[in-house]
Amino acid sequence: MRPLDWVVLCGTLALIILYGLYRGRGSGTVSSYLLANKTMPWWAMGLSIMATQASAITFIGTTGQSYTDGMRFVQFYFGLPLAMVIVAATSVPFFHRAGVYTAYEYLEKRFDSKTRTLTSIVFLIQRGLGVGVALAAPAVVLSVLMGLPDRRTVVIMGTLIIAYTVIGGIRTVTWTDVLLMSIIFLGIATALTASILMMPKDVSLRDALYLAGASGKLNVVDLSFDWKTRYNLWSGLIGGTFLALSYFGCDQSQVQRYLTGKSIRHSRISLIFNAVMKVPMQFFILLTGALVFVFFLFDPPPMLFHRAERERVEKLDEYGAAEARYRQAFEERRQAAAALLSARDAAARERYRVAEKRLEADRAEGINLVRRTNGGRPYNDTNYIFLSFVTRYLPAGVVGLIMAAVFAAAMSSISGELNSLATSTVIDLYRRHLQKNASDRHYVLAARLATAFWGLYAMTFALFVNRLGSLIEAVNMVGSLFYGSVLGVFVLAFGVKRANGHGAVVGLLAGLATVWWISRNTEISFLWYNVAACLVVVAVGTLVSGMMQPAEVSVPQKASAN
Amino acid sequence: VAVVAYLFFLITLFYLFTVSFN
Repeated sequence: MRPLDWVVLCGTLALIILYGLYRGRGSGTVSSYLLANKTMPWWAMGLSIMATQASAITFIGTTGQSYTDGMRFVQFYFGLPLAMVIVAATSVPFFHRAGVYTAYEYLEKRFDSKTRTLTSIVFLIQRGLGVGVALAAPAVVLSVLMGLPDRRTVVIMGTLIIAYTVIGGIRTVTWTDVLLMSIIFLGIATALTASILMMPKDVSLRDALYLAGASGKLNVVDLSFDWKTRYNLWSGLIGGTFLALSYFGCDQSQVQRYLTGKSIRHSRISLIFNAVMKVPMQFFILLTGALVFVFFLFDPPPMLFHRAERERVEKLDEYGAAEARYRQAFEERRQAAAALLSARDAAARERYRVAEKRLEADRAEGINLVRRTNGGRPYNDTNYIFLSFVTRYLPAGVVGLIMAAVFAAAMSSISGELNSLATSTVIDLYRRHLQKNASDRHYVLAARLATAFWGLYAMTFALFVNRLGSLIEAVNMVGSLFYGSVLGVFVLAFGVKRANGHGAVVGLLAGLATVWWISRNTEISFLWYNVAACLVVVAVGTLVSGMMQPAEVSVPQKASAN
Repeated sequence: VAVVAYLFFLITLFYLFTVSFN
């Protein structure tokens, strides 16, 4: 990072936060602090929905994933537009008409207090773990690349986000998200353009795509069906739809975005905006990763992208020989790639693939050196690939802009999560069970304190989790266990007339147990967990509701908010 | 003045991209 990069990074983020605070002034009531008085236009909500979903790891991890595994991850998002249509058609009118602050508040109106309390606690556990990871993961990567201690990165990012989220509430969060998402779009466009322009002079975009394809990186659509394959068309369309339904229909961090809408119309269009923009955005992020791979066919990539780990093993005697073999293998692959571009025949393709495999084998030697010296912990430098390319090759100013996009992605997702955690804490637990008749001002103060509490918790978690590397993956795994089951409860609420609170709670517990069992005893890919959990909750919930039918539910009533 | 049709248009486009290059 050069001085100009720091100016661009700090200047961009400071202006965005000041603008957000300016737009968020006057949030003195619960309705304005948590729902922006329902005044938001569709385009602001749409950008905020996208910004909340796009974390820093979405940006830097996805490009790295494409570099190593190709573009097939885009299939993960194929279910999202379908889910947006379903949520717009069902959840939006139900939530708007019920006049609720949280999705779980609706469940009390539909079922009972215990269903609301249980689902809100599940959300707080799941999203509470998630917000810690959302802060920890980018802080680790940015620390390594910017040369700052990770503790300082966590504290700077955390303090900044807590400050503007506490002061301005959802209005500041949303208007800040609008600009942060614009910076993310600009960052993606800049990165994609840079990856094309940085190619050698005699390699056109078509040549680059040919080489990326020959390396198997352009595997965008896989029509084969396999329960164990994480990303194919079917897991994306079916499993991805259920995952997106859970996230956008039942997770307060997203529901709260579209509850701020001026009307049902604005909320619906904000979701449709997301449906139209999301898949192409992910495609271009992944394409950038594939093009960075091609760039490194002609310019030597580091054997290890994680700079701190590399500097540690460079002191070993064996490192020099391993590095020399890696350089030799790179040169052979470079020549094979150039020959493939000229010949474009099966023999040249085979020579290129052999050279590619040899380079991978030599890189594996370097990784083994790391594992020998770090106590055998797994080594994964996927998240470092893209930003290594950015910081090493791109000009001053552009690096600052892309770093601003990464920070923007982290800030927008974390601020939305803190805001929703505080909302659920105050509305579903504090106001419902502890302090039922306090003043508006009291609840706004409680919401500010809850935001600060969750922010400080996220910072503590991030400082702690950085010492425990692979815990991040475990936390993500725990999060995915809950999603489908909560979706099942909302399907019962919206779609099963005879369902009641007893059925919903027993169904939820059965769904959680089912997913836990599947994850422990089968090799089924995680995208299918949500499908299984949702179906189990609906089946068990309907059955139990039939057996434990309270008298009041048998009286048909018109849907209303009261 | 469609979303589902747009999604399947994108998937078709991506499939042709895969078949052409990968």
